Amino acid sequence: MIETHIELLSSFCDGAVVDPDRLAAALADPRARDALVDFARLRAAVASSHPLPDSLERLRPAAVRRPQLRAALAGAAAMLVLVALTFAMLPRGWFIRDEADGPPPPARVIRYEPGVDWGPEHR
Amino acid sequence: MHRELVEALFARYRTPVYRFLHRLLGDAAAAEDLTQDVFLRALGADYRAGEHERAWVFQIARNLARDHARRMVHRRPAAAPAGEPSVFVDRAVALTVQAAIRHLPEAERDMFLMREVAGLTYDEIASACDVTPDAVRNRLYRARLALRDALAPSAVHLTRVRP
Repeated sequence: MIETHIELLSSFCDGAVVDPDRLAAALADPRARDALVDFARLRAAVASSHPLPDSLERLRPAAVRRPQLRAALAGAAAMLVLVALTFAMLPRGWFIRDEADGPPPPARVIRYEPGVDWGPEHR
Repeated sequence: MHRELVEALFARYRTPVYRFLHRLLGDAAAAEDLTQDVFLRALGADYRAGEHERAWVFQIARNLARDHARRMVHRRPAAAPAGEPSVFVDRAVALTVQAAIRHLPEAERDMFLMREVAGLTYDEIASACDVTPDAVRNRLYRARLALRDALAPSAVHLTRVRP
C-alpha cells in the first residue's frame, strides 16, 4: 500500500498505475511536488546520451573461457609438482653414483711383457 | 543458447547493459569488457522460455558486476565515479549524484540504476534481483529519498544547466 504522497509520486515515476484522485492530492502537496521535481532531476543526472564504444559494435567471438583456462593451468601446475615430488622421493643412488658403489682401488698391478708373459707361443 | 539468439540479444540490450554497468562500476573500460562478457555468458547459459528476457540479461550483468567489484576490492581502490555531462544537470551535480549512488546499499543501488538508467519495470527488476515487485517499489522509493538526503547537506542543488 502506498502510504505517502511522495511514495505515490515515486511509484508514478516508475510507470505504476496510481489512483488519479490520490495523484491530484499528492500534486497539491508542495513537499511532494518538490520531491517529484528532485526525482526527475535525479533521473536526468544519471541519464546517459554517450554513444556506445566501438568495441561494442559486435559481439566478440567466444574465446577459451577463463574458468576452463584456469582449470587447465591448475592441472599443469599440479602435474609439475607431482613430477618434482616423485623425483625428490626416489633413492639418491638412482641418479648419483656413490663412491662405495664403484670398483675398489687396485691392490697390485700385473704387467705382461711382450715375449715373456705373452707371445705367439702363448696363444 | 545459440549464437544467433545471443547476437539478437546483444543488438537489443547492449546499450542499456553498457550504460547500467558504466554507472554501476564508474569505469568505462570495465563496463565495455563486462558488457561483452554478459552476452558471452548468455551463450553458454540455459535460458528458460517464459522468463523475462531483459531481466535475465540484467541478472547476468548484475552478477558479473558484483564479481568484478569483489575482485577490484583486492586489487586497487574503487574507480572514481564516472560523471558524464547531462543535458539537464551540470557535471558537478552528475558527479555528486554518482557518488551518492555508490553509497546506497547494494540492492537499492542496483535497482535504482536498472530502473533509471536501463528502464526496467518492477517485474523485470524483481526477476533480476530475486525479490517481489512490491519490494522493488519500496526500495526504489527508499533509494530516491536517500539520494535526496545525500545531496541536500552538500548544498548541491539539482539545477538546470543554462544554455
